[in-house]
Amino acid sequence: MIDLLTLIAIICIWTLLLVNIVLICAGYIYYVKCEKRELSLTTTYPMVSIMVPAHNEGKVIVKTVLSLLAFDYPKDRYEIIVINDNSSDNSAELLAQIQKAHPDRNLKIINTDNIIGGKGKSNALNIGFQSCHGDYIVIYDADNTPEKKALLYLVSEIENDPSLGAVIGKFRTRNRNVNLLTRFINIETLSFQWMAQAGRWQLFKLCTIPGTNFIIRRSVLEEVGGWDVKALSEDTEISFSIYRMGYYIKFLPMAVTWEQEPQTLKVWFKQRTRWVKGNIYVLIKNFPLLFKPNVKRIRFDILYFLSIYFLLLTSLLISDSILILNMIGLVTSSIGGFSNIIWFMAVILFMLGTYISLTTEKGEMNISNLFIILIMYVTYTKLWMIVALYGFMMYIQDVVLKRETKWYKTERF
Amino acid sequence: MSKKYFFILKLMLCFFISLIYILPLQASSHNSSDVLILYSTEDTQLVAPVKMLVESYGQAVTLVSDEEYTLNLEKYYDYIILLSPSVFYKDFELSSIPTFCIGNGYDTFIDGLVTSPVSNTQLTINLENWSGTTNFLKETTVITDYIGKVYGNSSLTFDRNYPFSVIINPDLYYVPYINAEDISLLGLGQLLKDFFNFTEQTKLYITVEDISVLTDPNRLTTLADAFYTKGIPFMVYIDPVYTHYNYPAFVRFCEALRYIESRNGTLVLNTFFDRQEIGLYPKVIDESLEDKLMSSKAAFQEAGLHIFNLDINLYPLSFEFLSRVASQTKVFGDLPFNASLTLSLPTDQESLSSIINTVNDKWLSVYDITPDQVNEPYIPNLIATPDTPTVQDTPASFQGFFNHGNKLLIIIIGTSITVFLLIIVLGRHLYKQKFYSKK
Repeated sequence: MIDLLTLIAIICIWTLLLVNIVLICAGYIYYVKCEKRELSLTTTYPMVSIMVPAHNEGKVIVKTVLSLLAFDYPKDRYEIIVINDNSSDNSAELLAQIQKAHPDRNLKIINTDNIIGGKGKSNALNIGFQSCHGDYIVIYDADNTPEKKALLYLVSEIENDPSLGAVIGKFRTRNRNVNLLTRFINIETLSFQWMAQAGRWQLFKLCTIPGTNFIIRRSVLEEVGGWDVKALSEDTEISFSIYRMGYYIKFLPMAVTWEQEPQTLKVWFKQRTRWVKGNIYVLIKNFPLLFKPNVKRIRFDILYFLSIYFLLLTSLLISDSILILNMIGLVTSSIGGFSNIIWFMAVILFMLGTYISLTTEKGEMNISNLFIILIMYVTYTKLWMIVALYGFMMYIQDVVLKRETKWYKTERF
Repeated sequence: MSKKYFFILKLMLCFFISLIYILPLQASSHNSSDVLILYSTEDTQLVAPVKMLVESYGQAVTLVSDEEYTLNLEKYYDYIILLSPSVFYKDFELSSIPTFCIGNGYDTFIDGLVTSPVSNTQLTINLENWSGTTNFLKETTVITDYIGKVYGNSSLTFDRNYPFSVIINPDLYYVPYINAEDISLLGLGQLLKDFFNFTEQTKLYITVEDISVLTDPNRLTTLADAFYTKGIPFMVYIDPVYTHYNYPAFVRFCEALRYIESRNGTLVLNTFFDRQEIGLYPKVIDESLEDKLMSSKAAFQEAGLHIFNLDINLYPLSFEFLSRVASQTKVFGDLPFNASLTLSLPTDQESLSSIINTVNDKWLSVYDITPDQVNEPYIPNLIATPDTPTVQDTPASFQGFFNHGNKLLIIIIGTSITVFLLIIVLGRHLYKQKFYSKK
C-alpha cells in the first residue's frame, strides 16, 4: 500500500513537471513569434473604460492614476474610473486633487461607503462597471504603473481579432530589488507568465486573466453579469466565464505594467492564501465542465489547476510524509527513492527552465539571478506547499462553517 | 581359539590396518628433528617464511626470540638457524651444533668470512637451476672473502660476482641475503635441503583456495575441465559447511565438487583454529569446532565426496613468484622443498588460460597428492541453476517499475536540459540583439 501510494505520488509529481517542461518550450516559441511580429495598431480608437478598484491605496494611487492619464491613446477615447472602495485613508482627497488638476480628462472618482462598498474587488468592479461607457473595459490594480503604449496595444489586439474575449498584458515587479522576497516574486511572475500564460496560449489558446492589465469586451461582461462577488480570485473566475462563452483570452507581452509586490512574508502569505482559496472556489464551481462535451478547450485548464492545487499538493504531501515516516521507521517502503542523479538533474532542470523566462527581459539574464533561482528552489517553492495547504484548509473551514468569504487587500509599501 | 591368541591376532590386524593408512604418509615425511630458529624481535620479516620452509622438510620448529633466549638453550636442539647474530654470538659455540646463519654481522665469529655492505642496488642471483633478479635493495650484504664451498652467485649491477652463500663446513652454512619474495628463497630451500640432508623427492602441487558453498559452481566445473584437459592434477581447499545441508546451494556445491573429483581434482577440507578454545574470544558456542568440522566432513562424505586429510607441510608459492624466476633449462625442475602453487578461483577464462599457460610454459612438474584416487566419470545435475540464496516470498514490489522509470526520467530530463540549454544559448543571442544592439 505504501509503495503504491509512493508510486502514484511520484508519477503525479513528475508528470506535472514534464507538462511544465513542454509549457516552457512552448512559451519560448511564443516569445520568439512575438519578437518577429509587427502589431497592427488600431486607427479607429474605440471608447475604452479603465477601472481601478482601490481600497486604502493612498500610498500608490496617485502614481497609478497619473500613469493612466499619460497613456498614448486619444484623451477623449478613454475614461478612467477609480472606485475608491470604502477607504479610510486619504485616498479620496488625493484622487480629488488629481481630478481637480486634470479638469479636461475623463477621470471619474466613485467613493463608496461601507454600505454599498467594502465587499471586495469584485463588488468594487461591479460598481464601477455600472458607470462605464466604453466598448472595452480595462482593469488595473491600484498599485500599477502601466507603460504608455500598454493601452494602445491591448485595444489594437482585441479590436483586430473578434474571437478574443479578452487580452492580457504582462506585469512586471516594480519593487523587485527591495529584498530577496521581491526578487523571488519577480522571477516567479516572469516564469509564470512565460510558462503558464504564453505556453498555454501557444499550445491550447488558453490564458488566465491575471487581475490587472487586461482588456475585456463590454459585451462579455454584460453577458456574464459582471464579476462574481463570492469569488476571491475574480480573475480566474472571469476567465472561466469567457472560456464558456467560446472566446479566447490572449497573452500580449508587449502591453506592460509595473506593479508593487509584497515586501514582507506576512503580506505575501495573506495574498497567496487568498489566491489559493479563490482558485479552489473557481475550480469547484467549474468542475462539472470537465464532463461536458462542448468545452474541450478549457478541460486542460481545469485539469491543470486541479492538478496544481489538489494532485500536486496531495502528491507532495504523501511523498514527503512517507519519506519522513520511512526515516523514523514507522512505515517501510521497498521503493528506494530516486537516485541522486535524478534529483540533481531536476534541480538543474528547474534552474534552466526558470532562467529561460529571464532571457526575455532586459537586465534579468545574469548570474546573480541564476543563484537566486537556486535559493528559490530550496526556500520559496517549498513555501508554496505551506500556502497551498493552508489555503485549502481555510477554504474547507469557510465551507463547513458557512463563513462569508473575506477579501484581503494586499498591503502597500 | 584361546582369548589370548585372539587378542594378539586383533593387535596384529590393527597394526597392519594402521600401516595401510600411515605408510603412504610416512613415505612422504622425513624423520623429524628439532630445529631452533633464533631471531631478533627487531627484524621478524624472515621468521614465518623460514619456519614454513623448515617445516616443509618435516622438521619440528621452535621459535625463540632474542628476548626469550636463555644460555645454552641451543643444546637441546639438533639444528640451529640464526636469523640475527648480534645477541647470540657470545653465548654458544658454532661448531657444536649444525648452524645455518642468515643475514649480516657474522664476520667476527665465522673464521675467514668477510662481508661488505652495498646499497641502492639490485642483485642478480644465479643458482644451479634458476636465475632471477631481486627488487631494488636499499641496503644488503655481499660476501667478499670466505673459506668454504660456494653455492650460487650474486652479481650487482655493473659489478663482479659474489657468492650467494658459503658452506664453511657441513655444520655451518651462511647466506647473507634472503627474501621470501624472490629467487633467493629457492636458494635457501636448496641449502636447507642439503643442510638437513633431505634426500626425498620434493613435490609441487597446485591448490585452489577460498572455495566455499557460495562459490559459483559453474566456475568450479570450468576450472576442473581446464586442468583435466591439460592433464594437470590439482587440489581444492574447501571451507567446511556446518548447517543447512538441505539447501539447494549445498546440493549444487556438492555436485560441483563431485565433478571436480571426476576431473582429477582432490578435495581438502580447510581447518580453522577455534579462537574461543585458545582463549582469544569468549566462548559463546557450545559445540566445539572439532565436532563441527567432523559433521561437515560427514555431510560431504554423505554426498559421495572423498575428503582428503593433508598431513604434509607445503610451502605456499604464488604464480607471480614463479614468473620472477627463470630456469636454466626448458624444464623448470623440481623445487628444493615441498610446495603448493596456490591460486584463487579465476574470475574469467583469460585468467584461467594464463594459469594453465604458466604451468605449461614453465614445464612444471605438478604432482597428484592422491595418485591412487580413481576418477570416476560423473555428470553433475543442477549445476546450471543460478547460485542465488533461498528467497522468501515477498509482497509485490514496484521496485522494478521504479527502476525503469528512473532510467526513463534520466533520459527525459537529460533531453530537456539539453533543449533548455539550446534555448538559453538562442535566448542570449536574442537578448543581446534586442537590448544591447547598437542599431
